[in-house]
Amino acid sequence: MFWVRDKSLKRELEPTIRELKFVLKRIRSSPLSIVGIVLISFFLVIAILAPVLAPPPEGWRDPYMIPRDGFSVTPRPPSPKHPFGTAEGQYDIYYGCIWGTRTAFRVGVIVIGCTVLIGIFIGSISGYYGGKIDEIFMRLTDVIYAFPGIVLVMVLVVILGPSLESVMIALILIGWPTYARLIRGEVLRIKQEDFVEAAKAIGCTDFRVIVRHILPNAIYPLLAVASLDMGSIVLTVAAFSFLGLGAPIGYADWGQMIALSRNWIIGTPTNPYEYWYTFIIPGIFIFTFVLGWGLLGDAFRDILDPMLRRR
Amino acid sequence: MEELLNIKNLVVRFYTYEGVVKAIEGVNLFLRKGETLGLVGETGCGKSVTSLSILALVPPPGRIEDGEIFFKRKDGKRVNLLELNEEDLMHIRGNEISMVFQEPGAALNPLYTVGEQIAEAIILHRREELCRRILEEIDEEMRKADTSPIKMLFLRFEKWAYTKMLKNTRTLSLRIVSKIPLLNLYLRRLKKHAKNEAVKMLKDMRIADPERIANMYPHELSGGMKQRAVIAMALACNPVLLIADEPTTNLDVTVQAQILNLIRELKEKFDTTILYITHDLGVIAEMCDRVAVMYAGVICEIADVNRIFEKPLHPYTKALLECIPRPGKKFKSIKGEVPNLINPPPGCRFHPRCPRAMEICSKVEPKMVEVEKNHFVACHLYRGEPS
Amino acid sequence: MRALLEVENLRKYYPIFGGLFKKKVADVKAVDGINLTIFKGECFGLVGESGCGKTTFGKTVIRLLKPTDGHIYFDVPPDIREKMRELELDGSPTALRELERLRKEYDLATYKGKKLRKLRRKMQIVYQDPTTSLNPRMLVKDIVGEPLKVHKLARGGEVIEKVVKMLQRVGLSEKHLYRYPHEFSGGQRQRIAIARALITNPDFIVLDEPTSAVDVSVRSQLLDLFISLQKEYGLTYLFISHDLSVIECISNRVGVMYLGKIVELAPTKELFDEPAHPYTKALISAIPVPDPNVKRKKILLSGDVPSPINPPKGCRFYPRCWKARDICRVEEPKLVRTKGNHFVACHFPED
Repeated sequence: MFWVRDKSLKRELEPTIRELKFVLKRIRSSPLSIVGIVLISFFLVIAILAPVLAPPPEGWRDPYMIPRDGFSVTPRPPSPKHPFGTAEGQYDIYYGCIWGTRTAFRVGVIVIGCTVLIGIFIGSISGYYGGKIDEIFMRLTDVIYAFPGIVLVMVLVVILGPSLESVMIALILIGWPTYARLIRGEVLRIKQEDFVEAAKAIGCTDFRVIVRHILPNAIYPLLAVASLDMGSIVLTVAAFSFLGLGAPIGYADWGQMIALSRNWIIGTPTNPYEYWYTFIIPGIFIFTFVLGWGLLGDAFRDILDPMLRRR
Repeated sequence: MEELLNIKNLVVRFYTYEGVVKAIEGVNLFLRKGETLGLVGETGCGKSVTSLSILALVPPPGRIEDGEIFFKRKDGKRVNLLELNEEDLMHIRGNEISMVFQEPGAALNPLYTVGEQIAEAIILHRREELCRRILEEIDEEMRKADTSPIKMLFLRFEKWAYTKMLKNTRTLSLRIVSKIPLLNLYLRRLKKHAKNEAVKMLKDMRIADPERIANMYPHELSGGMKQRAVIAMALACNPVLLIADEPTTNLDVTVQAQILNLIRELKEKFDTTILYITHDLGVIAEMCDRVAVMYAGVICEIADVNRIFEKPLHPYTKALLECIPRPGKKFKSIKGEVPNLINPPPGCRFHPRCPRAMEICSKVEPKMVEVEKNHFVACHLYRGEPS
Repeated sequence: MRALLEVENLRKYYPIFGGLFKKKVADVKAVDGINLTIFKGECFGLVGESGCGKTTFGKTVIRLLKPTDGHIYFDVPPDIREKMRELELDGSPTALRELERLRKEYDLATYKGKKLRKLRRKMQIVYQDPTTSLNPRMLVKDIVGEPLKVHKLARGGEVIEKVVKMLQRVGLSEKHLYRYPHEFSGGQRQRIAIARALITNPDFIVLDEPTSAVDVSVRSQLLDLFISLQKEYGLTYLFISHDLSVIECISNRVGVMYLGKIVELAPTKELFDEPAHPYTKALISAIPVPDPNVKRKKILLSGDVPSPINPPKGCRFYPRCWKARDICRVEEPKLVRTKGNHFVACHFPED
């Protein structure tokens, strides 16, 4: 009996390794997916190494508040002391962008994580049981869809008080219907398959059927949508910060940085690009981050494809 | 009996990302006019691919790598189907060589009624005959005394249109006229005639109430009806060769009996040559004159139907016949699995499962030899005249 | 022989909704009043064409579907069955109350929830298409081991041991444990499905066209396997098929179904040698014989297999029967014994 237990871990992983190799081969053949993966990895490294790349000053309480070098209003161009320059109020743009990466990941992961979890829960129950429960949940999603998203978020933020957390909560509240609908559709489709009925025939409880049999097959389209959503969530949060409804002034958030550049975008009468570094640099960060996630979503979709084609 | 179709050295490969599937490796087959040749084999042996190759309908990633398929056309000319261009092939498909597939629903477009679809085939291939008949009809109507001047004008126009159509449908003038709203009503006549022909075909299929069936959509019909409609479509233009790819596999056994009977009757009436593909040996015994047995992309044995059942030579044929369940007798099966055609076994493809495999079988591919008259085998156990 | 499964007046209707308010417009009468007893250790063959309700019957009998009406008694001690029959004949209010109580305990049609799930240990099913009946994202060891985990019959290493033993019994091996279903051939997948069905040591297995989706050469292997497993584990089979030649070889008794009802029931040899119902006769004559010298006279039925939505009144086979007469249109024939163990539902059975 012991031999079974010793070898079992390696053997357990064997088919997963085989599948992974197949997936890698597929990804290698799609160069854009590789670009996506590289970009996101790059941002991940920056986020992890933020304390090293942009160490907060001695005794600084909250590393997410950007240190100020003076209080003058005019932004200053890049210099050895401030590699990306300073924004209005002398906030260091470099520091803001590096720690902003952390914020972006934090916001994205939390919002997407919560919306996905709520969506899976509601969607699978709705799709599996149907009937009145399904009706109630779907009408709920209809109600949420009926409101213009931005307005709803604004109302919620005003109620909860402007801060990054309130924006996140608001986005979660209006974001879960998409995933619920997606999962519900997949559950409806998979429910018809023989192996689901076979699972019931074995004696599985409804919970086990959903979790062990239906969801592992239903989850794939979700991955593609979720990664695309990462990018769009970060954009939305940036927009809200720009409007003043999100992170407080001075917070290390890309949107906030662009908010700080509001008065300087048009530059001076002689040189419209005088203060380019205040908005273009954070803008590049946002752009590449969203692009990376978009390409990653494409990569996930490619993974789906071989699974289907192979069968 | 003359030769109608001759497949020589057909090689078809599928380029999948898991490797190159050597689906068909050197198939030689011929059909004589008027006979029914059965092509029998299990899943994956390549019989469907062979039939698709005849009409150059092999889907990508499949490619016909080598070989020739000689076909004797209605006008007597002998052509190599694999060398023809798309336009010539279009003339042959549906018109001289027709195909009936396994899934009757798949061949029928769910958006058009059955009658419309059969009529489409007729319009496509029997245009001349229809036009001639229509012109006669127009002449009749023109001769009638009580036609109003407007109607006369329109009749003249129709006569011009159909005379032009008789020669060629794709002249510019006709194409323009077909787009002009009131003028293109001239096509009604064509559709009506084609529909009548379609109803006649359905009647030939022993469908009671063919008018009503012709106006129905495919999803309103049962499997047996749909298959009859598909056969009607296939035979609408009186093809010389009918390829039937497992047409009754998905049907109930009583419906299958009806369809098989129908095919037999139609064959007599229209004198069609049939290539009948199936995995059911009972159907083979009932329908075919000669039988070809396929395994893993190669033909193992070809013989008259009686000889195949009485004296099967190839070990695979013998094993297949023994596998047929018989009450009271022990079940026999063939050990092993159908090989993966990306890496087929070297030499004879059947040798890993053959009870009589010799050493040479794993090294050299056996060639097809004629052991007795009209009985061909590809097996190292037998010697004979190379065919 | 002891009765293992007794079905009384089983009905399964599917409602069709139509109209503006989605009211029930009609019923698809898939199974319309079947009385049947399957004995322990036998292989009961159920034949019929598409739409006759045989698959629905098989699934209803093991409670994958909830019956619309009727009773299903599985492995009920004979004395209790006897008592139930007595109570039914009695008819008095006390007797009926007692009958209700017994029914709640033994009638599968009333089971739900946990009680129903516990039943699954004893009754299993093997599906027609092994490609769709196995979860494509589960390893073989999990697919076959799941019933053990669900019913808490084994744990950890023990599960793998039992799975390996079962795989070996069905002709696979230990090295197949860590693979996905799509890496196997059709015949092998069906073996995995069989292993899954057998691992909890059930008494009764519904085989729903288990050999229809595989090749001829593999078919015999599987049939051999079924027979040897039956002997070894003392199983009882309900073998559903449209392929009469397979049924002829494997069943002890055969029931012929048409439009939701059983039209003929007899021991296998008798059914094939002397079919009494015209439909059975037509069905048998329609089988193509793999011998070119035998020219069997075929009885060709007119028309198509009808739909179970509005079955004809009277005898359901009436529209296609060549010996139909007036009484057939009006009165539905009952399933009656003709001789020995042979039952037919026909006003003018063949002889």
